[in-house]
Amino acid sequence: MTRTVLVAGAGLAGSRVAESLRDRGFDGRIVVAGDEPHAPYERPALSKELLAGTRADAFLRPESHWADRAIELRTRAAVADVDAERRTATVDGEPLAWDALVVATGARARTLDGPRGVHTLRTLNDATALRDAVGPATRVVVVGAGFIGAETASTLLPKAASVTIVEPLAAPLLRIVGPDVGSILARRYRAHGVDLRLGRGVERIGGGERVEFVELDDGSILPADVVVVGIGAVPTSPLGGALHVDEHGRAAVPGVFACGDVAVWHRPSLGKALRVEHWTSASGQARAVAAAILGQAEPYDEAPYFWSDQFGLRLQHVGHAESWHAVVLEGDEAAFTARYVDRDGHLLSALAVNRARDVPVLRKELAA
Amino acid sequence: MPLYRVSIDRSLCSGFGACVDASPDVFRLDGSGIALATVAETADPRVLDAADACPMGAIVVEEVAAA
Repeated sequence: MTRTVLVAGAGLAGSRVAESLRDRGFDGRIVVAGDEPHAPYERPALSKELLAGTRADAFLRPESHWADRAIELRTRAAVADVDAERRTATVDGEPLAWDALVVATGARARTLDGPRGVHTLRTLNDATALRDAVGPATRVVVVGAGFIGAETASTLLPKAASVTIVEPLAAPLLRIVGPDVGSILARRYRAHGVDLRLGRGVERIGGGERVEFVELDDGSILPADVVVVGIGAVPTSPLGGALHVDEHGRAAVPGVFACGDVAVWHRPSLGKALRVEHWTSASGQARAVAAAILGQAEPYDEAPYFWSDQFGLRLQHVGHAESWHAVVLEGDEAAFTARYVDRDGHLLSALAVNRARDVPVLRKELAA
Repeated sequence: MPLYRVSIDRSLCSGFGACVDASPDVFRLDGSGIALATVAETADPRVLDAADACPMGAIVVEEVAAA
């Protein structure tokens, strides 16, 4: 009988597990512990509205929400010393016995060495620090043309003196969108005024007490006041790194579950396990975990989905493909859909750019 | 039985369609792919799932006194 559920991590995934347990009538103890000083918040807003300054906070729920549902929310409280055999752990140093442990600790941003002025964008504190560091005279260099880098560049462009993006690959978002769509995006970034340096790595970030320049691997020097490093994130948990779980979120050890960015989740429809850092996956997996804790079966296996707002484009991506046979483009550079298909023409993944009405259709096609 | 008042911020809607999956009697996508609530109030508790499933947080569901 499950009486105490300990949720390590107070982001979307962890907090949604707690809410979903209560929605399903669970009346035992729920402790949600996160090491950040904040109540659960929305991460997608960080590189968008919060960084732009058009939104002051990004909290998922009103302050009273957690206590109203008898969810014990512990902030600045890391879960450690997990003993999965005895089912014990510590929360902020205090021992706690659990019947079910949910690992939803997410990931931490990878960064680069350098003087003060090197930022990452992963947490609410990261976002406010970066927002406050950039003014009309600030020269910004963004390292990495992935989604965080591209959104950050897009948001900071109207606020900063200049924005440069340095990307070692030949196009932005190359691994996900491929070279053709990547070239369309590159033209878009440049048309908006970004100095986009493709095929270039960072040699070092230099300066005195503060950042003064970024040196690239071709010897060129980019003057910089603020550097934003967007080169991915590393899953982190009290059990080490990422956790492998089945389609219900169950780890190999009984009583241990995982969801969200930290979880390598089994996807029967793809025939493989996949770790993604998407809002919809965190949300959907959390429900599956809550069900599994209560002995119900609600496996999560929906096509991965994420969206990104950048340079006046809304990118919506569904499905998952590491390689494809062909890319079928429909539309023009301002609004198009790219279909990534296999040799038989079957859809593997798709990108809709300013074509929201295609998304539900593509989702259905992928689910079929 | 509780009654739920449903509102959609259509400027936020991304047309993902999760609301239609969760609660097909209440939500549909219009010609431009943006979500509409077909009723203002409903007893269907699945509208709560629809609000939770919306990646844009565009759906607000309030519980109102039963009629």
